[in-house]
Amino acid sequence: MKIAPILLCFVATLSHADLAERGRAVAAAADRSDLGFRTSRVTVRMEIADRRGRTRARELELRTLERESDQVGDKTLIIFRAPADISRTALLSHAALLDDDQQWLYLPRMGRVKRISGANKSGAFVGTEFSFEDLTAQELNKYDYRWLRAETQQQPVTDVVERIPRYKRSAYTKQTVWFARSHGQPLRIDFFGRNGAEHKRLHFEDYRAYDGIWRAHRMHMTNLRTGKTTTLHFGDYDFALDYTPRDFQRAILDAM
Amino acid sequence: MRCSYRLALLASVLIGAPSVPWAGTELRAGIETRYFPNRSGIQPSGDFQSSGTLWVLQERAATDGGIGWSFELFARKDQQDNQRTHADIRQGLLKVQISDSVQVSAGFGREFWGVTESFHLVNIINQIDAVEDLDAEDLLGQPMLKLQTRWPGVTWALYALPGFRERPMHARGARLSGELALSRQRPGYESGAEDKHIDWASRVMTQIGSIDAGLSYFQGTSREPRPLFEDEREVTPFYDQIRQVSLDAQLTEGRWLLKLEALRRWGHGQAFSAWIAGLEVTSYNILGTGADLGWVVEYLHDQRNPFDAPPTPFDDDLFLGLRWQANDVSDSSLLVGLFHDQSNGERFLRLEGQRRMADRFTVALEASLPLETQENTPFHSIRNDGFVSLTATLNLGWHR
Repeated sequence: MKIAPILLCFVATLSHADLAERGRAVAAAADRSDLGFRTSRVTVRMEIADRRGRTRARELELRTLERESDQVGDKTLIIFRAPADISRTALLSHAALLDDDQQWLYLPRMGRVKRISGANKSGAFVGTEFSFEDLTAQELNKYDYRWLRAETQQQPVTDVVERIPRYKRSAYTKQTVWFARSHGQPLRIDFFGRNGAEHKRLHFEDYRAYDGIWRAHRMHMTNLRTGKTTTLHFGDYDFALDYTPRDFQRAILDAM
Repeated sequence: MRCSYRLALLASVLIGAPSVPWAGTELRAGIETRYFPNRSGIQPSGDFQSSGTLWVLQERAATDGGIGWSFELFARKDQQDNQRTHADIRQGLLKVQISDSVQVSAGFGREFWGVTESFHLVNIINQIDAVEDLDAEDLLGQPMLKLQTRWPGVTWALYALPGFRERPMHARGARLSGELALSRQRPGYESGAEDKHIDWASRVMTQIGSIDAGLSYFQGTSREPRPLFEDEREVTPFYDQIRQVSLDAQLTEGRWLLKLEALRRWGHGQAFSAWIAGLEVTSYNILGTGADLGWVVEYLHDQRNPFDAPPTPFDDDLFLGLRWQANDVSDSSLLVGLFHDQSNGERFLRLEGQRRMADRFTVALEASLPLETQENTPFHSIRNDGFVSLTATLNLGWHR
């Protein structure tokens, strides 16, 4: 039966494509559930802890304008509120899918707007364990997917999907994402660095639905190498705000 | 705790509307000590000069169809230099968002134009608070009426600038006075209206892909005074009427930033051009520490006739700068920059570092050191006034 090995290869290939498609389908459901939120604003408190548990806090306001097409990413405006010495400092980002983001920084002391390089998405965001790469929306087309398994033995039941970044300059070779079957949102992400070892772990908690749009209100990131952690506490989200693309142009910083 | 409650109560009474725009108050109190290693004039070597500052800001964002404001007051008390003891309304601005794309503001305001790091060549609207520091980054409030319109990709602003701010100067014999003193006479003005002259400015800004660019026009009283010497030690500032056209542009590609500022000015005798061209590239996560290191190279060129125009030290200079940012929870950063005049060999070193020591407490280190000077240049007169300073600031903020 010389034909069998050939058939086996064929079957194995099909299976691989199947897993990719299934993984992508799970991620697509999460991505789709987010469609149509249009605008949002939320206050975020960041608790940064060193390995001994000593914490420092930051507070910021995050405004988001949903992307206009699936060829680009969302636009975000982050305005720092605390500590007081960096209050009113703002960061405007136009997220690109595979290219570098466009970013502008507003420095309140001189009222100066600086366009900065968007190439460093993998660097730590303001001293936290989150990088800008970690914070920006998880657009579907940024990754290649592979469904790994379903975890049905405990609650909540999850689909475990592996995803590999397609965009340049990522700090990660791959990520493992646990999607809850109940609401389709990610519950946990394991991040794997250049050498293939697990680098960080992220847990999403306190999901609430705003008219069908799910948002986690607590995100806890642990750096497995250093033992440091950062917890993001989200306040109540405001949706249906009257933001327009003009509110996310560079000129909005010039007017601050 | 009680204070912030009262402030919040006051804020909510003033505002009242259901859609609540952001409002906040900030307060900073600082103590600065400068150490001057060299003797200069009547100042001894190894000399300390201390001062205290108070700064307060009260601000409310202007939302559509709404009114916002910014009030910013600053005061410094200097133990040694009585001209450095001063207060200013940095901002006293009322803003009205007439529509989604049109905003009008009136009062004391602050504008920043430009992209370069070594020197802010095209930034003209505000007068420099020249007794604060040598980096020309402290600006006096400028009375203005501003109309700004935003369209997709383009912004246009028109400014009416009634009222002029004179450039402050150090006290006679004080550090950094350059052995000069303001004569007892009033400053001279080319315009008969003197400091009541109404100046005008306009600016168009655009952002297309990797390019951010601004084109600006100014006509009115020069912010830079020309020194008229009564005798060798006394000087009267003279403010010419000028016109200036300027361009500032930046190209951002990956880790690379290409920058340009250029101007052409008429009114100080012969018309002249000046420009700064620069490059900035950042290395991320150096040596695996998570810190960024930025390299800055800028070339400064200024054609002005030193006898007709206000003096500038940056006529043929190379600037090399290094910017270290720790990306840590304390926002530690350090910037070191060296100016090297290619014509006369003058060298000037600047250093600025800061770090948050506790939630409400920041510390800043600064140094301004003339390393090499030549006769008859602006740096020569302050060649013995190189200093290192340490500033501790208490930062408080309340917001809704």
